[in-house]
This record gives sequence, structure tokens and C-alpha cells, in this order.
Amino acid sequence: MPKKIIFEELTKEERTLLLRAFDYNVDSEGYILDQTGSKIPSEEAPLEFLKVDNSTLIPGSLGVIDGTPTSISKFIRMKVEAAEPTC
Amino acid sequence: MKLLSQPAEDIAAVIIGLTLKEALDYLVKHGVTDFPGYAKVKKIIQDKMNEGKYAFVPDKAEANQLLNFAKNPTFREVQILVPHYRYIDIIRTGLLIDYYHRNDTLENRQRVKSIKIQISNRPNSLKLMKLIDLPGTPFFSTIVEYLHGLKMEGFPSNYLIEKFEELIENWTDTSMLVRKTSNPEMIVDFCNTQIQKKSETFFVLGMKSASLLVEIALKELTDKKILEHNGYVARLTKSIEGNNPRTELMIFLKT
Repeated sequence: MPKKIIFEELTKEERTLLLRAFDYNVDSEGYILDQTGSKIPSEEAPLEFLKVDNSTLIPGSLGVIDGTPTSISKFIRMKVEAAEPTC
Repeated sequence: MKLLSQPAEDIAAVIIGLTLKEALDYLVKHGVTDFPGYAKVKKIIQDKMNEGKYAFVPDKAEANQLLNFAKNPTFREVQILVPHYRYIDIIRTGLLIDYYHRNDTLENRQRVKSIKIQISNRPNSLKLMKLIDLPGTPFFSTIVEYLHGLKMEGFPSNYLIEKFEELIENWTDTSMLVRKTSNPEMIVDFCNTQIQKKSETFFVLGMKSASLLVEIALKELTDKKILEHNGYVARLTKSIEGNNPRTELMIFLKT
């Protein structure tokens, strides 16, 4: 992980294409399907699944997480700030 | 799948010099929807993502705001004092809510509502909702200051987390924000109630003209030996916020 992360937005089509580059897919209802064809469960909302337009796509090969502020905060804490030098 | 109108080699030659976002934009605009038969193009996209520079979020301004909270001194203190606190990401989200409240627009109000709905659907939502409101109150820094004091006294990290949990659980009941229309008797009554309930820690905060009321109330509590007789000690902290005085009174049971 680099020292600085750049947050960007993509259109739904661009997101879908990026996902397909990593062998994910998107179904007709907009749900992201993993490499085995399964929907990806939300870590925050029980019984909900991640959709292409409101998820966050993170580096580290390609990871897919919830797009909520709490989930992005966790990504910042664990993958961005944890990688920063302490001095 | 839409077939590429340009040879894959030509497309690869163009996108290799672009940023990942630009490359995806280029591909979409040129009708690319998938990669079968275009392994080289796919590999370029993979390599660009694997550089680890980018995260693609629903709202980049909001994500950058969350990133910027690393500079918030009170939040930094929380990260140092209780780095392994399990709801630390909710506190950061609470700072975002506070930011939206301070930059009040119709759009931001709707965003706050939508974030709160998301959180209300999560397990343990009552606690999370209480926690998310804390960073927007003056008690956030008071609680962090109290934890800092405990750390200086040598209490271990696990105890700080336990205390933090307890303060967060109870802060709406164990804290009083003094209004300018309040009077010292109301503060003394609040303290007496906390003492009767044997609260281990409670807080009184006065800002601007209410700052002096806190000092008057403490004098009365001290003169009448109310705290001393019940085993409590008080710590008064006076500071200036902007051009205005701020007085925090922390009262805790002697251990």
C-alpha cells in the first residue's frame, strides 16, 4: 500500500469494468458477484449484499467493501494510516 | 460483450500511459464492457489497480473528509489512548456527522439522515447511535481529557477502553451542559443527583457566560463539603475557546 491513497469516483460502467478485470461480475440488479458467482454480503448490514454503485473498491489485488463512512473509516485506519511511518 | 472496434494492441498502447480512472473512462467510451480476447488490456488495468494508489468510493469528498480527521487533535488523542477500541470507526463517522451539522445545507442534512438510517439498521444500533452523536458535543473532548488523565496516572490500556465504554454508555445521563439561563443551584442539584446514584464519574460543562456558573456551583459544593463527605473529588479545567471561556468540571469517586 502506498503512503498516500487517492480517493476517486467512477461511473457504474467504469466500476463494472474494473470489477470484471478482476473476474468479479455484476448481475442485472446491480449486485456484485465474486469469482465464484456469489453475491458479497455486507459486513455492516445483516442480510444485505454489496451493489456496484454504492460499494468501495480497494487496492490489494481488488477488494470490495461497503461504501459507508464507517467502512471507509476502517479502510483508512487499517490500510492507510497503519502503513504510514510513525515518525 | 461488445467487440472492440480498435485492435487490443492499439488500445493497450493508449491506456498504458493513462491513470487508472482515465484508462477505465477511455475503455468505456470506446465501448469496452469486458475483456475476453483482450488479455493485455485486462492485465494493464490489473497492474494499475495493483499499484495501490486508488480506492474508488461513492463520494470522494466525503472519503477525503474522513481521511482529514486524522488531523483532528481530539480524535488523534482517542487513537493514541484507545487504539483498539472496537467502535473507533464509528467515532470517525461521528466527526463526519458533526462536520455536516456545522456545514448545514439541505444536502448535508439528507446525508446525515441517510448515514443514521444505515447505522440504525446495524446490530447494537442503540449504542452506535449514542456514540455517533458524541463527537459533535463538547463532552467529547472532556471525556478524552479524562482518559488522558487516567493514562498519566498509569492506568493500562484495557482499563482505559473499559472506562471509555462506560463513559460513552452513560454520557447522556452523567453530563450537564450548563445553559446561560441555568443557575448554580441547578448545577448543584445535578451533582447531588449523580452522588445519590453513586455515579463514578460525571461532568459539568459551561461555556461563554455559563462558564462562571460552574465555578460558583463548585464553590458551593466545596464550601458545604458535599463532595468530600461523599468521597468525591473535583477537577476544574478552565480554557479559552475562540475568545470565549470554557469551564469543565469533572467529578469522580475516589478510588
